[in-house]
Amino acid sequence: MTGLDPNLHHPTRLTVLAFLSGCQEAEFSAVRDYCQVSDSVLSKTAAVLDELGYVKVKKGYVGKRPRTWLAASRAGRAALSGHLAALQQLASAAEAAAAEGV
Amino acid sequence: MDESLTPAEALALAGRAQAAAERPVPMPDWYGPGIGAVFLAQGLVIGAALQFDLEWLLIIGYAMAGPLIGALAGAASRAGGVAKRPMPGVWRLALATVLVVASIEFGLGALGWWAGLPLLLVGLVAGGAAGGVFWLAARRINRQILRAYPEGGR
Repeated sequence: MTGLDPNLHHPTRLTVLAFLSGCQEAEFSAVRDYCQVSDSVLSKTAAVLDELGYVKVKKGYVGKRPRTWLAASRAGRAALSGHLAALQQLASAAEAAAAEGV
Repeated sequence: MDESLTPAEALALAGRAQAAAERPVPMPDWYGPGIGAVFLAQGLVIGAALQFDLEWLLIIGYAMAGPLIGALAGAASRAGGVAKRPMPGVWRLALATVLVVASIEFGLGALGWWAGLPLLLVGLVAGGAAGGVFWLAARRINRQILRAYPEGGR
């Protein structure tokens, strides 16, 4: 299946990219809280997605507090969309096979 | 998180994550009064410019609202940690809001000018009324969002 992206098989990567594709950008802590992962897990996941070009990481300050913002890139949105379409095909095929088996 | 997911589980996981990021959240409490204060200040500045015949102040009065509102709206959109994507039709709503608020401000201003009231006072009342209407509208929208998405409250 062409659309399936092996980089998005990992649930945390998939969740992070899907969350980011639903917004313009999100602060690190908001993504961490939604995904219910630790700082270090999200940090590693974001670094991998950044390396793949799927996510843009922007560091800045609000007052004296450091803030990290994550955003899905165009490539990331396209990869996710292709991955989800391929998953949808697989799920439909599995459903059809199960129905035939009954 | 479990490392192995069926396609259906992965789809559900991604769907929930996207929906959570897209879910509307109320604007920060300071947003309505903040923008309202900008309209109040604008009315005051324009009123003062007209009363004391200061052309440069009039230019400031007309030009000040856009950048200030843009900055406050930008800060508000990031206040909850998730900057939302513009919803379809939001530009029409924003344009309608600007037109209603501007009509109130200029309508009251024109009425006060026609009645021969001091223009500084007219500007203050017109700006205050426009700001108050915006504040009330923002509160109403926040209440609607909270009613529609009770779990989306800050």
